[in-house]
Amino acid sequence: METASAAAPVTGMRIWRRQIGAMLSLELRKTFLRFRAVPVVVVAFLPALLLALRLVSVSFDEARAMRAAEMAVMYGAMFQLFFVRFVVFFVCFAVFTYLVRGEIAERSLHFYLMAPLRRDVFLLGKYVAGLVSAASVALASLALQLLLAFADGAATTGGRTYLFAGPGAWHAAWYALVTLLAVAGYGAVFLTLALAVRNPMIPAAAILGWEWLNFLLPPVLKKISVIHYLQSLCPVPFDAGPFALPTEPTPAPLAIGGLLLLVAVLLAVAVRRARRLEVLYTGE
Amino acid sequence: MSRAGAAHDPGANGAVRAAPAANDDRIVFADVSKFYGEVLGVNRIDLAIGPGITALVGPNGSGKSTLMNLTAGLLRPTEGTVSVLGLAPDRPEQLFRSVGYCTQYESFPRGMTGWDFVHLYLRLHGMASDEAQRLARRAIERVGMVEAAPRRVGAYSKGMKQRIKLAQAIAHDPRVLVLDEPLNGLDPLARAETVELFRAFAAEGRLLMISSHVLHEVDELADRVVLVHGGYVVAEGAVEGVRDEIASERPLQVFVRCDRPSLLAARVFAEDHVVEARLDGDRGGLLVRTEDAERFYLLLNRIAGEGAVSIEAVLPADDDVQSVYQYLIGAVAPGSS
Repeated sequence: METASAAAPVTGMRIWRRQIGAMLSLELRKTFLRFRAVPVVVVAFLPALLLALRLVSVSFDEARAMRAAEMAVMYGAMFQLFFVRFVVFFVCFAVFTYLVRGEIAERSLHFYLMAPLRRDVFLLGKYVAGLVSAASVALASLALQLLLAFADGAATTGGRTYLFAGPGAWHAAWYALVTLLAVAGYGAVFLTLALAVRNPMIPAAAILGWEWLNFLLPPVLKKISVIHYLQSLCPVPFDAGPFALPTEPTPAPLAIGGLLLLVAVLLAVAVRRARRLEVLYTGE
Repeated sequence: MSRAGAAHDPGANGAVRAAPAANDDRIVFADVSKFYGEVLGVNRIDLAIGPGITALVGPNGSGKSTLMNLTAGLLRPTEGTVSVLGLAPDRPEQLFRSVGYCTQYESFPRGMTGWDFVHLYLRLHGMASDEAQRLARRAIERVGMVEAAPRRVGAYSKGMKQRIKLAQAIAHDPRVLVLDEPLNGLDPLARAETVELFRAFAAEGRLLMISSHVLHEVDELADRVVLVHGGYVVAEGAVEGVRDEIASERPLQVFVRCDRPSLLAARVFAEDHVVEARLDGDRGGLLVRTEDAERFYLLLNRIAGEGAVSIEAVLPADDDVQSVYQYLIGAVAPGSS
C-alpha cells in the first residue's frame, strides 16, 4: 500500500517551520477575525484614545499645549504605568491564555493534538502565533500613541523635531523593544499559567498586583518580576513617588538577557505540561 | 462480570491477545487501565487488533471512546501500554503519519470552512501547500463534500460534519483509521457509500477500528467485534467466534423451518441439551435453545433422515452482534429498536 505520508520526512527544521507557519496562519485568523478580538483591540488602543482626547482638548484650550521635553516625561510615565503594566498585560492575558485554554473551552484542542506535531513544536507554534498577534496590536498602538503625543506641533511644541530629528526616534525604538519584550515575557507567563491551572484569572490578578506594586518591593523581590527588567530599559525614567524603594536599574544587556532567560524557563515548563496534555473536555 | 474473550489465530481473525512488539502490524493494548480521577474509564484491557475492520460495540460510557482516545494518544493510560503499529501514542509526530482519527467531537476550530479543516490539518503535517491542496481535494471528493467544502463548518448538518471529519481522517492516506461512530447522522446513501469506502480500505490491508451503536451495520461491516461494557472488554473476535466461545455457558438459539414443528418440538425436547423449544407459527417453524450445538445438529440430521419431519431450513438465530450483546450484557443492545 502506497501512502502519501510514507514519503514525508518525519522530522526536521523544514517540517517544523511549515508546521509553525500553518499554526500561525490559523491562529492569526482566529485572533483577529472574530468578535472576541474587539475588546483586546479596544484596550490596546486606550492610551492612543487618551492622547487623542488630549489633542482635542488642546484644540479648545491652547494653554494646555506642552513642550516636547515635558511631553516626553509625561509619555514615559504613561508608557510604564499604563501601557506596559496594564494594556500590554491585559492584551497578553487575553491572547496567550486563550491559545490553549480557549481550545479546551471550545473543544477544539484535539484538532492540533491529532496532527503529527511534536508537543514542543505545538507549544512553540502557539507561542509564536500569540507573540505575532499581541505584538502587532501593541506595536500598532505604540506607533499611534507616539504620533498623537508628538506629531502635532501645536499640541506639543517641538514634538515633530523631537520625534523625527531628535532623541524621540531613539526613544521610540527603545519603547518598541520594551513592548516586544513585555509581550514576550507576559506571553510566556500566561501561556504557562493557562497550562498549569484551569482558571488563570485569579493568578493573573495576583501577578498584576505584584507587577503594579513592584516599586514598593525591596530590591531582591523587585527582581522577580517582568516589569523590573522592562523599567530598566525604558529611555525616560519616571518618579515613582516618596514611597518607592529605589533600586539600581539593571544594565540593558542583563535586563534583556534576564527576560529572555525567564521566557526560556517558562516555555520549558510549558512544554513539560504540554507533553502531558490530555483531551478531557468533560473534565474541564 | 465474566469475560468471554476469544483468543484466535491472527491470520484467521485479527483480534488476539498479545504483548506489544516493535514494528507490529497491530494496535496492542497491554494491561491498559484508564481512570479519570476515581472514575473508571477502562480497566485491565489486553487486546490486539490487526488489519481489517474491527468494531467496538458497547453502550454509552462503556469505554469505547476512551479506548479510541488512548489509541490516538489524546489520553494517556493510567497503567499499561498502548502501541499502534509498534509506535507509542505519546509520539504524535510519528503516530499521526500512520493514523487518521475521526473523533466523536462535534466541535471545530471556529470560523473554519470544510476546506480549511482538511487543508490546514494537512498543512499541520508539514506538507507543502500544493501537496496539501491535492490531498485535501481528493479526500473531500471521496466523502462527497466538494460543493459544501467552501462553506463554514458551523453551518453544516450533523451528517456533513461527520463526512468532513472523515475526510480529515483519511486525507493523509493513513494505514490505521480510528473512527468513533463514523456513520452517525449520515443519510442512507452516504452511509452506504461510507461503508463501501471502509470496505475498500480494509481490502487494501489497512486497519480500521470503528465504534458503532448500529449493530446490524456492525454485523455487515466488521470482520470482528470487541464488546465493551463498564470499562471491560467482555468479548472479542469474529461475531460467530464470540458466539461459539460463549456457547458452553449460554444456550445457542437455532430456528428450524419445517412442515411439522410440533412433532419436531416433541422429539428435540426429549434431549437433555435442549433447554427450550418454542413454536413460531408466524415463521412456520421451531425456535430451539440448546447447550450443545453439535449434538443438536446431529439429532436434526437423524430426524431428517427418518423422514418424519421435512426440514426446509436451519438458521442460527443469534449469530449476530445483537444477540451476543444480549447474552453477555443482559440488556437490549444499543441502537436496537
